[in-house]
Amino acid sequence: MLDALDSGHPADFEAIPLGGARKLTNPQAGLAFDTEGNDPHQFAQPAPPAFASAWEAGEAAGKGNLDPPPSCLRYLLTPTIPGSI
Amino acid sequence: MEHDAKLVLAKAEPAREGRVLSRRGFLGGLGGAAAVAAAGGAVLEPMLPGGSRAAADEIGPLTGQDRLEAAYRNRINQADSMFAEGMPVQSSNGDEDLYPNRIGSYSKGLPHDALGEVDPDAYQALLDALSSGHPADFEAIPRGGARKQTNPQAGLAFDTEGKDPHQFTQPPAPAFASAWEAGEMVELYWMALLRDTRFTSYPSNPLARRAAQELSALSDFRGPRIGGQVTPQTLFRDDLPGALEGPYVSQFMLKGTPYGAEYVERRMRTLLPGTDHMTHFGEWLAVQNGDVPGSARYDPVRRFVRNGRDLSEWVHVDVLFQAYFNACLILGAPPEPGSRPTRGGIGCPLNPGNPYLGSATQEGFGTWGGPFFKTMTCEVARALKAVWFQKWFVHRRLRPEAFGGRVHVHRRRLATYPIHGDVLDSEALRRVHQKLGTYLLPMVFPEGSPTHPAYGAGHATVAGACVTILKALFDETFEIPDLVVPNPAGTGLAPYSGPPLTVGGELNKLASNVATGRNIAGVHWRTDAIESLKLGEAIAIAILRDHLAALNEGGSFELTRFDGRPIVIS
Repeated sequence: MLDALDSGHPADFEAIPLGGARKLTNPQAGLAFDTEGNDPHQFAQPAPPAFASAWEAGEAAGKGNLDPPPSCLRYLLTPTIPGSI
Repeated sequence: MEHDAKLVLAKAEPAREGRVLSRRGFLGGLGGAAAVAAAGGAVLEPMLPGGSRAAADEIGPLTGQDRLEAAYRNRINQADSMFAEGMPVQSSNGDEDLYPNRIGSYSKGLPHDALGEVDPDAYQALLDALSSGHPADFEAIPRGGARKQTNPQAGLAFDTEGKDPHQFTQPPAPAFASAWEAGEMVELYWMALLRDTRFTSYPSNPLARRAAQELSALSDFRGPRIGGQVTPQTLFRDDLPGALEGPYVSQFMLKGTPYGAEYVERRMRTLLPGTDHMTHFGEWLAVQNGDVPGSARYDPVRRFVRNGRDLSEWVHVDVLFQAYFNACLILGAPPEPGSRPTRGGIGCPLNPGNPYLGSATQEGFGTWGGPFFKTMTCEVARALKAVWFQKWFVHRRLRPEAFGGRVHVHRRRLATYPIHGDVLDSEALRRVHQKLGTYLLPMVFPEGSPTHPAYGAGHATVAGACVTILKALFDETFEIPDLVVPNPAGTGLAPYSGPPLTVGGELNKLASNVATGRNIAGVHWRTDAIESLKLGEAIAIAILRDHLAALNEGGSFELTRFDGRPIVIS
């Protein structure tokens, strides 16, 4: 998949192994130009919270952008407590 | 253009040479709450301070400055292709100069005298504004009543894709005094006489047969024929592939529309029979000046489109691309026989040029998939700009209601106008006079026509553009399952059995229904409709070319044009 995204060649996208019945949704749309406004690549989004971050954990707990999470959430999300996640 | 491009590239340059800072690094230096706030402001900002646009975290065949330059070249190529097409010569029928009293030209909403002839100074003010293009000059156009002129400056707008709106043309409209114009007017009088007659009863209806006979015998009637004759089957139709086949009303105007989790049933609010307007000269004159003395009388029962009055009211209040958005939803949704009441759509196969037809790993979405289809179908309605240029800046053709006023004044010997005998001596005109005591064209809408010139037609242009897009996205040869016609009262749908009807044919018929519905309402001529369908098609093809050049996948669009020619856009 990374090779296909990097090359952008339609044939490389066809070589991505699938795990089941469903196909990938239109990765090549991200390579399209457009006819008005800025180029689609001229927009940016900030990096999402890192996998291991408390911020990510806060979102997984369904409380939105809480950084740091309130102390009660931190207690709930501590992985040493069995059954907490 | 060259200068602007250098500016853009120069602005991006420091980012390339300066300290490369990834987005993650940039935001990592801020507190969490500050990062969120910064993100909110940064999403629509192409270049952030500190050169962070040279971020290294993206992958792909072209990144950073290379991508920017490729995107720039794509826009330049698009502009070069547009420029290479050149400008056509725009020609009107010359009536405006031929008649100093402007009897052959659009003048609605300006002040008129007691015969309905426009105030010459007011007309000149309109011409002056159109010539200068200054917004202040448009404000100086005199008004004859309450209504304002509809958006003449749209004809001066540029556009951001396809060709420039001024690069399209329409042939001169039929001249005021011609047999061709008379033929179109006779058809309009017959349309008025047949508004409350069900389309499905045309073959057996004596009045519809008389209409077909008279139109066949006119010296210059250019509607479709079978075996050289206008017949009840060709009556009020257009000669587009498939549009002469089967029932009058397209399946895409009758079948329920799956609309996400919602569902749109197609019964409409319609008008009571016999509720024509502008059949008295005083009312007609007030409407020419821009006032609206009458009001609509609605049927309390909702009905499927079953006759000319229903179709007229449908195209009175439709929302620009509504007919084609409905069609797109019906085409794209799979059938769901067990789902009540929608039963889903018809699951039309994709156009043979869609590159995802052969893909084992991907499906289209924002390109070549559902969202792409919906966006394309609706956005070509920008075609209005090109037709508004034709209307205001080239042709300024009078509306049929104004021609009806000339016929009335001439027949009442209040003035003498060069009107062709094909309409003055017609059975249609005699029957209108017998029925309503007037030679005016009876109108469906209280306000009559809109306040913009007749030629070309906005509805027909959008119809031609949107239907061309649908044919380019779907397989037009697909046969539509479970054909329907309205029951006689229009309160339900009955199965229709007959030769198969294809998606392409019923889309062409849909475009024709919408375009001709405006004629049946009395607000447009046959040439307004047919020439504007072609205009819309040309606009859509230019836009399809631009879209194709912007896509990574390649692919093509295969479709049959309105004149029957198959084309491949690649």
